[in-house]
Parts: sequence; structure tokens; C-alpha cells
Amino acid sequence: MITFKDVSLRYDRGAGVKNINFSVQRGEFIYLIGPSGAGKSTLLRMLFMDIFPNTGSVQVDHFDSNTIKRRQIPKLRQKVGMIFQDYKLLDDRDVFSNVALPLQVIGVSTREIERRVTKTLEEVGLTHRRLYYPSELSGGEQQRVSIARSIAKDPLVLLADEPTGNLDMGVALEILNLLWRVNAKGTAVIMATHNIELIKNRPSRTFRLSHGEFKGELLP
Amino acid sequence: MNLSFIFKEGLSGFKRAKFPFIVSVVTLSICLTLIGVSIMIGDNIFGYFREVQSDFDVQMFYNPQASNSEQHAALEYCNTYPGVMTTVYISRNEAVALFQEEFGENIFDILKDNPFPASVRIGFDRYHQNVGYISGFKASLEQLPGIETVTFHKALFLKLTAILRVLTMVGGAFVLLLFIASVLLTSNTIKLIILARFDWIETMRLIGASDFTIRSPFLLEGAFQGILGAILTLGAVHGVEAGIMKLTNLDLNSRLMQFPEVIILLFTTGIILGVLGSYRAVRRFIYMVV
Repeated sequence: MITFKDVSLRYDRGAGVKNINFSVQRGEFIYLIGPSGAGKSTLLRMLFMDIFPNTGSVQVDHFDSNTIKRRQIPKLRQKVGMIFQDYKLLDDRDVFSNVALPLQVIGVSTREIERRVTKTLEEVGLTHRRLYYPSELSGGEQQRVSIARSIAKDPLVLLADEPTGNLDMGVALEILNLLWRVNAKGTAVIMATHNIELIKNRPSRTFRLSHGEFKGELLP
Repeated sequence: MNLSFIFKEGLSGFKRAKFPFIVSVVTLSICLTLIGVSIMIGDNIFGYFREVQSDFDVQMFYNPQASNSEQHAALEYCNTYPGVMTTVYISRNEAVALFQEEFGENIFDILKDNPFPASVRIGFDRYHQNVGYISGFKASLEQLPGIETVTFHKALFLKLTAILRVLTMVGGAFVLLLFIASVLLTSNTIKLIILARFDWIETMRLIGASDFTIRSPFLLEGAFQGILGAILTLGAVHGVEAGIMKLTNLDLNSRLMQFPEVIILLFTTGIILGVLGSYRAVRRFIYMVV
């Protein structure tokens, strides 16, 4: 489903990634670990085709970084969920509207949106917060909303870029467990983190990166 | 793609960035007012020169011995000539009255007899007001029986035509420049709205919204601003016209707001300015964000 083949990218300011090769199958849970600047976010950004490799290719489902057209990128992103350390929620609308957004964009009917958002909020345990605004929620709850927004459209893969970076250990573990529940329903998850202690609780296939280079794979 | 979503986002845009929205509407309105007032002033100057020019089209003088039937036939000839818009018959007595009106003296105090022949003033429509055409007409009139002389102030006519041509070009270029400036100005103000909604664009990008879905609400909002700007402009231009008439006692030839087509044009221009300004502003931001 996802393949990195001889991928290298060098930013104008230097750094980037060098000669990355790996693949991810449907339903897998992958950790990308490494210190800041190791290239974890760069790999995730390549997966939603925000940036493109200088050499090699990134393939996600049937989209290839070398052949994808700009107008096809939204189609790819409709199949890829993304969550970030800073949640990226819209402050001017409530939880329900935030989660409904990706469904509205692809033209899902109002009744179906109501059904799917309600179900998704149940899954992330936020039914009681559906009319709250992001500013009224804790960090952990905001990250749950962000996860709900990403999985409401039933993506093939969920990309998580330091999703627990702003959270204390207890809440971080709750978020990790939630991601595993999402994975259990068939969605592949790729999570970038530098929190080794956290992922020891839920071991899985892990790629280690350092200075933009692949430093080996750890199996659970 | 969900059209109702696009409409909802577009129309609620002003709630999310009230101040930039108001600034954009006012900017648009100022631009439209400048364009409207320029057209109004240009149109009135143009109309004035055209009026002056029409006085100098052609005047046909009858031979004092011309019979009624000859006079009638010549007048009929003028009335049916292609391009002739007006014919005004001036009898000998009317000519005396006109002389008195213009020079303040009664001709009979100077002369014993009325020296003025009967005449016809002939005006052409704008499509036939060219020297070659009018000269041909003049020559054909001179061949008619009962006609003493035909005058056509060619040099003055040419001068006025040149002035009108320059006015048209300069006025057109001025309005075009004003339009371009308006698009740039409007687009810069609309950037304020887009800056205020930068997070929205970023999020929309991440969740897989197409360029069209992201751009459309802003274009719709731009059109909405254009409509509001045009309404403000209606009031402003109306006020300027009323002010000019009151302060200068000048009877304006044409008042823009009298014509429904001008009002439609005003709204259309407002919408085009708003949409173009939004398009220009949003395009840059869409490409800046992921």
C-alpha cells in the first residue's frame, strides 16, 4: 500500500532524507522514531505529497509521487488521515463541525454526516463534547477531535506526527491506545515520535531514523 | 463537491472576519464611486461637446424666390436622407427673432427689410458624423432647386471631432487604469480576510479539499462584497450628482442613476471587482499552503 523506493530529499537549507526504502502493508502499525531533525516529519509530508523527493519514488495506494498531478492530490488526501502535535482544529466551529468538515468537503449528505460523525465521536469518547469549541477542551480532548476528524472519512492510513508531543504521559498513553483501536479496525497507522518510553507500552514494527538516514528496523 | 457547503462558508465568511470584510466593502465602494463619477463627468463633457458639434453640422438656406413646393421637397429630401437625425425649419421671422436673441438688436432698427432667408438646420446621428459623409450630403443639397447656399463649418467640425476622439481615448484609458487599480486595491484588502482565515485554508488543504472548494467561498464572498459595495456606490454617486447640480446650478446632461442599464453595470462591475480581487488574493495563498 505504501512504498518508499530509494527516496532522497535535500532541503535548500540542508538536511532532508537519504536513500530511504521501506514499505507498509494495509492494517499495519508503524512507528518512526528518531531525534528532532531525523527526517520523520519529512517522510510523513512526502506521504501526503506536501513535498516530493528529489530522487526515488513514494507510492501511496495507486498514487505515485513521480506521476501525480496537482489536481489529484486532494483525492490522495481524502484517503490519508493526518494528525499533528498542534491539532490544527478550527477554533470558530464546534467539535461536531470540525469532525464533519472532511465529509462536507467530499459532498456526503447531511444525514450521513450526522450518522458518521456521531459514530466517530463515540469511538473517540467525545459524544458529550460535541457542541464544545476547541478552546473549551483539554489538549488530550483536542487531539481526540483531530483523530475523529481524520478517521471520519475512513482513511486507508492515518499519519500521526508527534501526536503526543504536547501531552503528559497519562494522556499520551490514552491517545496511543486510541490510535491502536483505530488500527484494529483496519486503518494503517504511521506514527512519528521521539518518545521511546511511550511506545514501549504498545510495541510494533519500528523504523529508526537519524540525520535523515534509515538506521534499521526494530521488530516487536 | 458540496455546493451548499461552499455557499454556507462563503456567506458566513464575513462573520469570521468582520473588520476586514467591512474594509473590503468600503474599498470596493470607493473604487466603484471613482469609476462611476469619472464616467459621469466624462459622459457629460462628451455630451456637451457633441451638443456643440451638432450645432455645426449643416445649415441649408433657401433662395428667397424658392416656391413652397421647392422648400417642401428640399426639407423632405433632408428628412429621408440616411443618418439625418434632426431637421429644424427656421422661417424668416424666426430668423429675425433669433438675431435679436443672439445680438440684442432688432434687425428692422438697422435695415428696412428682413435680410434673412428661411433655412433648415440639419443634425446627423453619431454614426454619420464624419466629414466625408456630410460633405457629400452638402454637395447633393446644393444641386436642389430653390437652395441658395449650404453651410458646413468643416474646420470647426474637424476640431470638435478630434477633441471628442481624444476625450474618448483618454477617458477610456483613465477608466481602464482606474479599474486595474481597483482590482489591485480590492485584492490587497481581500488578503486581510484571507490572512484571517489562513488556518481554514491550511486545514482544508490537509483534509483533501480541492482548489475549487477552497477558492469558491472566497469568490462568493467577493461577489457579495461587490453587491454591497455597489449599493453604497449608488448612494454616493447619487449624492455627488445632486451636489454638483445644487452647487453649480448645472443641469447635467446625463445622470448615471437615471438609467437602469447603468445600475446593472454598476452591480456587474462590483461583482467582477470583488471576484477578481478575491481570485487574485486567494490564488497566491492557496499555493503558499501545503
